[in-house]
Amino acid sequence: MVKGDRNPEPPAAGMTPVLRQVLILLLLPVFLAAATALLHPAAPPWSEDSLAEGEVNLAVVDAWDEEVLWVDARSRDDYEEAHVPGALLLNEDAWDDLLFDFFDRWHPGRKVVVYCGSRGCRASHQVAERLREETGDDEIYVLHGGWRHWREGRL
Amino acid sequence: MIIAIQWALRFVLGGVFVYAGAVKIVDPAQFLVDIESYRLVPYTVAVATALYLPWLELLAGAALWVGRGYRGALVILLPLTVLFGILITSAWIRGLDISCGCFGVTDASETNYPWLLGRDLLILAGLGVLAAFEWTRRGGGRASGTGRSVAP
Repeated sequence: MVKGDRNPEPPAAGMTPVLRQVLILLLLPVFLAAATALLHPAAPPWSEDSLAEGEVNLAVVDAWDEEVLWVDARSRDDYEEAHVPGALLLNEDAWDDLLFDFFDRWHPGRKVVVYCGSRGCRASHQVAERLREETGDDEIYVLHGGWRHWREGRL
Repeated sequence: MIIAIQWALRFVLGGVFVYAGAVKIVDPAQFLVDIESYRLVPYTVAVATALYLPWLELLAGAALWVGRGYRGALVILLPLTVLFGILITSAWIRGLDISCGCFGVTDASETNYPWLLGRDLLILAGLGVLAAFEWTRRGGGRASGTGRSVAP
């Protein structure tokens, strides 16, 4: 309250409407979030192990029982430090150069699994999407959990 | 002059939060990835946040525009913006590579922490000015519409 205020008002008088506004603003999103979870086509799954569309885990890859083409979508430094055996590097930093290597190794019908660092990265989804566009093939998947999942499952 | 500043801040900051909320509502899965990159909360909490927070931002931002629920929006957005600043700082200290998640997939910044933090502080300053106008009544009228105009 400023000294000399021309419209004095008891301090408590303004509290209730503000609290009501805060409560409404905090509660309304609960219902809208619930509606999003139920109705949004791209709502994230509640279970950590759920696979989103286009994602696979190591169990799925093993069940294919065929040689897949692993694509590492991380940075060159990360790739050179360690990568899935036989994986080729393909990231958006040097897309045009690295894409040649991909087409040297890939043929229509060969399944491709792209991975990045962990579940919290997005590069594998972006690379997989671009590969689907480049090849016109849908057999291009993302490894759920990325490099961390592979390392925990294999090492 | 004060009225102009007040309206400009309401328009810009309201727009910032409406936009930030809207792009995340469109792609909650991407926002989840962004939340997870901070490595602070369990997966289920991250999912709940990805679904809830964008709506809160959108509604509070809209309240800044329309005036209804205006004070409540300020009470929510001020600490929320402080929290965002703390989270960004925490990620910076831990050397994490994050896309801050502030404005969904259109946010192309690659962990430019000074920029992320500076932007957050600018928003915080703007909200602080609006709150000062509102609660000290130096502004061009009570934007909440619950009282008399106090313009000189």
